[in-house]
Amino acid sequence: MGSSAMRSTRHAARLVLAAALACAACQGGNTYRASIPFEYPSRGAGPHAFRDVVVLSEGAEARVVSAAIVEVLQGLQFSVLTPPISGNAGIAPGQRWKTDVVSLPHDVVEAHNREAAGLVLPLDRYYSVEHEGTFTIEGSQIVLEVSSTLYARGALGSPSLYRGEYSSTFFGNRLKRLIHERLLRPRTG
Amino acid sequence: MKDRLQLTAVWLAGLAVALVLVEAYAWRRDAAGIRLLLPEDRAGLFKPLLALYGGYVGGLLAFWFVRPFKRPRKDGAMRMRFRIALACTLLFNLTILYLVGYRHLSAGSGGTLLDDVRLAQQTAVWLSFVVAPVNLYYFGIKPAKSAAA
Repeated sequence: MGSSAMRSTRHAARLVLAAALACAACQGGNTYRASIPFEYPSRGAGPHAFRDVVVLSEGAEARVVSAAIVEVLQGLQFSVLTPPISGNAGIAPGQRWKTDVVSLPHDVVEAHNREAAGLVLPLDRYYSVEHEGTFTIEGSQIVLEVSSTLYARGALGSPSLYRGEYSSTFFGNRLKRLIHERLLRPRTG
Repeated sequence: MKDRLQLTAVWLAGLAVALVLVEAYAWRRDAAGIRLLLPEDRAGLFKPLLALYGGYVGGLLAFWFVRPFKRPRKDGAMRMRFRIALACTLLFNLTILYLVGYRHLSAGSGGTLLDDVRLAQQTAVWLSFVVAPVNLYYFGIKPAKSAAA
């Protein structure tokens, strides 16, 4: 009788552990991770400028990457809600940033459907998205982690969490591409 | 008895039409092919609508079985009283149905359907004085002995 009770307790514990692991997997499932390689100017091939390589001054990596992320997000009409961005205060490496929810243009939804075959978003609704993520500098790599949450609404509805399948990789990749392009452009001012 | 049946029918029809109006939004699309209401969002509108009508219809149905108030001694002018009761009930229900359904006539006037249903809920509270005495009289008062027999 006692061993039977212990067996069922162990079984219940295993079930709880499995459920916890499954939940952790589904929460982390929509996180996109990618890295952008960079070089320091002193380590290039002589005095010539690098082509298609991000060049960051030593000691200024975090400030430049933070500014690029904020500029790209603001260019896409997002506001960075956390951390508060003002003056010289930007996003620190490892610090979690989060945007507000912004409508997705129709052409972005169509691009998602082209690129993420099998995860087609129905075109009978409006979509909006919010991003959150972090960046870190690891050696000569800028490591980006981005989670994208999609919302949908009808023409007369309010946005609610989209419960269908979509490609977080598409949205993460879109941000990474724009941040990469921004870092390749020489900073002005 | 017939008067009460007619008034009950108006209330139940009002509830049914309101639900159909909301359901119809989920089937209609705008010029760009976007659904006016996502099917999964219907429940969010049905809930306040059922709460709105539930308070009134629930009371009426309960009064079909329990009559808590005594009938006044003098009880004349029945026909005119019923006309007033019907007019008040129709005014209330048509106002609510207009607020819930006017987007079928002109969809592009800003705001959301949930805002409309909330306004309908609030309006129902404001218009309670129109239907409360009617419901109390026709549904809450004990019938005359001859009619009850």
